[in-house]
This record gives sequence, C-alpha cells and structure tokens, in this order.
Amino acid sequence: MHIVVGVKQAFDVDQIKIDPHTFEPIYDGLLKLDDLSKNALEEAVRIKESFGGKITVITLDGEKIGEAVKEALAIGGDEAKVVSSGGKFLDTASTAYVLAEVIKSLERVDLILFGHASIDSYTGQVGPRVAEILGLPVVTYVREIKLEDGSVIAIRDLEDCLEEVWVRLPCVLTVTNEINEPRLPSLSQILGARKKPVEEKSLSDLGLDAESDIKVIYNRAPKIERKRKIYKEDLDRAVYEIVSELTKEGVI
Amino acid sequence: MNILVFSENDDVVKELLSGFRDLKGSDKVTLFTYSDSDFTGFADKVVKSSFPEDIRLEDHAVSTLSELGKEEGFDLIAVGSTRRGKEIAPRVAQRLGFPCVTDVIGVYLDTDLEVERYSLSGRTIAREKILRIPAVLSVMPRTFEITIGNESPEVIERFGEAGEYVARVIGRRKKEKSGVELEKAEIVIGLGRGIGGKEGIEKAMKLKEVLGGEIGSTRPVAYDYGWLPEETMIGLSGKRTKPSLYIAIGVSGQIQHMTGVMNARRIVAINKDENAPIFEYADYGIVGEWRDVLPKLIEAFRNR
Ligand SMILES: Cc1cc2nc3c(=O)[nH]c(=O)nc-3n(C[C@H](O)[C@H](O)[C@H](O)COP(=O)(O)OP(=O)(O)OC[C@H]3O[C@@H](n4cnc5c(N)ncnc54)[C@H](O)[C@@H]3O)c2cc1C
Repeated sequence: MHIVVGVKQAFDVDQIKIDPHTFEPIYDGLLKLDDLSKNALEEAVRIKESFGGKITVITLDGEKIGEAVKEALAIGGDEAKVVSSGGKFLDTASTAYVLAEVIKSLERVDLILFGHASIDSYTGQVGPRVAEILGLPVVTYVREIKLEDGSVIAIRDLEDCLEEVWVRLPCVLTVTNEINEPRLPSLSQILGARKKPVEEKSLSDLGLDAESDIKVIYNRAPKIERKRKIYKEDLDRAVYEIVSELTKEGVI
Repeated sequence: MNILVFSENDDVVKELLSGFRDLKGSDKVTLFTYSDSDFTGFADKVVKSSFPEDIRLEDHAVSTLSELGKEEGFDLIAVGSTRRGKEIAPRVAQRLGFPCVTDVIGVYLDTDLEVERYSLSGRTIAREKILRIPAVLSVMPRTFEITIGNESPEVIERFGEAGEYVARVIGRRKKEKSGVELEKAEIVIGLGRGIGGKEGIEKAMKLKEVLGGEIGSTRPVAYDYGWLPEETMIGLSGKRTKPSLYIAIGVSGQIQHMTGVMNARRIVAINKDENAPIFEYADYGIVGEWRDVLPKLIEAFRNR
C-alpha cells in the first residue's frame, strides 16, 4: 500500500494578530502543520498500521524544508517530496498542478489523501483539482475510511446526510477534521524524522511559472466593534446590568 | 454576462438566481438542476437532468456542467457552496481550465469580476479580482436574498450518460432532524465543553425556555461527547448564524467556532477563565462558573 498525503505549512490562524489600524493580519512567520493535513496524515498512519506499506508526504512550501514537513515525518511519513516555491504565492490551480506533477513522478500510488481544505486559505480546491489532473476518482468530506481489497468504502459527512461511497483504488480522498484525533509524535519519532529522506525540487524543475488568475485586492478583518464589557465580580450586578443593557438596546 | 447556476439545494438555487439576476452586468441566467421544482420567476432558462441513484451527484454534475460550459460559452459558472458544491466547483474549473474561487460571500460584476470570501478560517475577509473569465465560483448559502422576478424560463431536458463513473453510492443515511433552525434564529445559546454534560445542558434549556431561540454547540459538545446532535455545531465546519444575540456558555472562543457567530449583533460570554479568547469577541462577559451565573441570568430574563 503506497499512500501519498498532501500536507500544507499553513498560517497559525489562532495566533495571528490583527493590526488595529489597518485591520490587516500580521503574519509574523506564524506557521504550523495545517490541522486538516494532520487528520489526513493520521488516517494514513492508521491504514499503514493495519495494512502495511509506505507513506509519502508531499508538499509545496516556501523557501526551505519547513517545520511542517519535519512534523509530518515525525507523525508517520516515511519520506517527503518538497517543492519549494521560492517564496512565491501560488494559487490553487498552480498548487494542484505542482502536486499532481510530484505524484506522477512517484512509483505506483494506491491512495492519495488530503484535508478537505487548509485552515488558512480554506479553498478546498487542491484535492479535487489534483484528482481531475490525474484522472482519478475523488471523494470529498470523508469522515470514515474502510479499506477493502483494492477498493475503499468512504463515508462522507454532508449537511443533511451521511453518504456511503464505494470506489476502487487508486483514488483521492479528502478528509474532515472529525475523522480522527491526530496523535502527537514522541520525542524519538521527532529525532528519527531527521533521518528520513526528503527530496527537494523547485518550481522551475517542474516547468511552472506561477502566474495567477486571481489577485488579492485586500485581506482584512471585518470592522466589528465589540464592547468588551467584562465583569469579574459581583455576579448580581453583572447580570442585572447586562440584561438591562440588552433590553435597552432592543436586542431582546 | 451569461451565467450558469447550479446547486443541489433548491433554496440555494433561488438565492443564486435572485442574486445574479439583480447584479449589474448580468444578462442571462441559466439554471442546471436535478430538481422538479418550478423556477418561474427565477431563471431565464432551465436545463433539467437526472442521474441513476448509485452514481455520485458530484460526478454527474461535474461532467454535465463542464459540457454545458464548453457548448454554450458561459462567462460564469456559479455553484452553491454546500459541501457537494465545494467539490463540484474546483473540478469543473480544472476540467475547463477556468480560474475558481470558493466560499464566496460577495460578487461584484460592475467592471471587472471581483469577489469577497472569508480567509484565515474567518478571521479576515479577502477581496479578490478574477483576472480571466470564464470563471467558476462557489457561493455561500444565504449570500443573496430570495426575490421573485418575472422570468418565465424555457425548460430543456438533457439526459444521457455524461461521462464514465467509477465511484458508486452504496448508501445514504439521513441525519436526524431535530428541527433546530440555527441559521434563522434571533437568539442563539451556544454551549461549549465547559458546560460539562447533561446537567449543564438542562440548565441551558431552562434559559432557552425563558428567552426563546435555539441551542447551538461547539465541536467537543457535538462531535467528541455527543451531548447535543451534530447538526447543532456552529462554526467553520458547522452552521453559520446571524442572531441578534449570541450567548456563549463554557465556550473558549477559538476562531473555528467564532466564525459562525461573527455576525451576531451582540455577544454575551460566560466563562470561568478570564483569559479565554471568547472575551475578545464579547460585548458583555461574565467571568465565572455557569453554575453560579445561569440561575441568576434565567431569573433576570424572567423578571425583565
Ligand atoms: C479545521 C477545523 C475546523 C473546526 N471547526 C469547528 C466548528 O465548526 N465548530 C467548533 O465549535 N469548533 C470547530 N473546531 C474546533 C475548535 O478549534 C475548538 O477546538 C472548539 O471550538 C473548542 O470548543 P469549546 O470552546 O467547547 O472547548 P474548549 O476550547 O475546551 O473550551 C472550554 C471552555 O469552557 C470553559 N469552562 C470550563 N468549565 C467551565 C465552567 N464550569 N463554567 C464556565 N466556563 C467553563 C473553559 O475555561 C474553556 O474556555 C475546528 C477545528 C479545526 C482545526
């Protein structure tokens, strides 16, 4: 079983501060292994534990081999293929192109896993696009994976129903955050990850010049003023004042 | 602009048709649908189809939308951003070589095609210009209001195999419907892990009795512990609400949850940890145990 997991080094959305004047996010190098990538990786590790095989982590990254790749290898990836963008912004179409090229260069792949979206840009486009490029079937929003001989039964978590889909391998699955609870790597796994093979390529190696059809005009926090009136003592007064304020404001 | 609309959800279809009809720069709006509903007053043209039960709706819709896109020269293909729609949009875009933006919450066609979408899990809103049309969008439900126009659509049927299908649907289990209508509720009481279980939930139900509204929840409550049905989860992977009042009890206030209540007019937070992020988003907050606060709050609302 050769499982490929697409992971992303994403902005840590909880840590990012908002500039109080421009309302723009202050990124400050706050990066981490994307949460949903972890879910995909965890699922791959579980499959490998039951069926054996190999896990290849693939990613498109900034300048160098980031912490995300190291963490992915610590969690259970056996090797990694990294394409560095040289700091360039790539849109989802280019990202999918790059990852599909990497997958094409690998030996026989059985299963390709992604998170259904990444925690920072949350477009959800990469998995489905990669599947289209490779001409493989794709099943999105998968909450449970049951592997059978040469095929998969995937249970999808949709708004109004759980949908059970049978699909043969190889295929692309994108998983939800609810599919599992990703494990934390142990210290020895973290140390061991350093010895795992990582192959690096650049965009030009793949013949891509990253022009995007989408231009971000601005990206900023909505201007919602909150009153932030916080009561720390005297519950009776707090409750009384809050209820009267809400009544006065016509909220209730 | 010549626009093609699709969603498997009829309400979302009507929102999209209403929204695109009224946008400056839109000329003709065609609907592709599997539904038997009447779209008089909404679409200029309706293309109807159907597919065998055991085939994935997404696979059939991707093939058909891609074919229609090629045949009829649409400038824009707009898909409802449900989970199904979020798979369909990028696949169609990839097949046709079009740019695509998902989870759009605002569309502007005046001169160029520009859209707004949430970014950073909902912490920011990005305005993006699409430099090349035709393009594909997935548009969030409730982006547009439903309004009835005077269209009397020409209806065309389009059947037959649209492509080869590898995947098979072998079962569908409807989720239990508890009748909770979080999206429309004026008051939402959101319960987090801090509510602790059955006892806390019952207390919160008392508050609901006095105040009206609906009960929502966070991920641990809905998925990890199952104290409330999954469909009550609010946030990035759950429901998006727009109440005039959101009362958060034992909710820490992580962005993935808050994104679903960001548009509440007032937010009240009850949390025993004064450093909980929820207080950053709150209009009014009480640092304390819900056990102490809830009875007083229920009392105060009752005597109001
Ligand atoms: C990709 C992704 C998508 C996600 N989507 C969602 C989503 O849609 N919805 C969602 O909710 N989450 C979502 N999450 C999870 C989210 O990040 C948080 O983990 C979750 O919202 C936390 O829930 P909580 O506030 O109930 O729990 P906790 O973070 O554990 O907070 C519990 C709070 O209760 C307080 N508390 C404890 N006891 C008491 C008491 N007796 N009285 C008063 N206060 C008390 C504590 O101080 C604490 O602040 C998502 C995460 C990811 C990575």
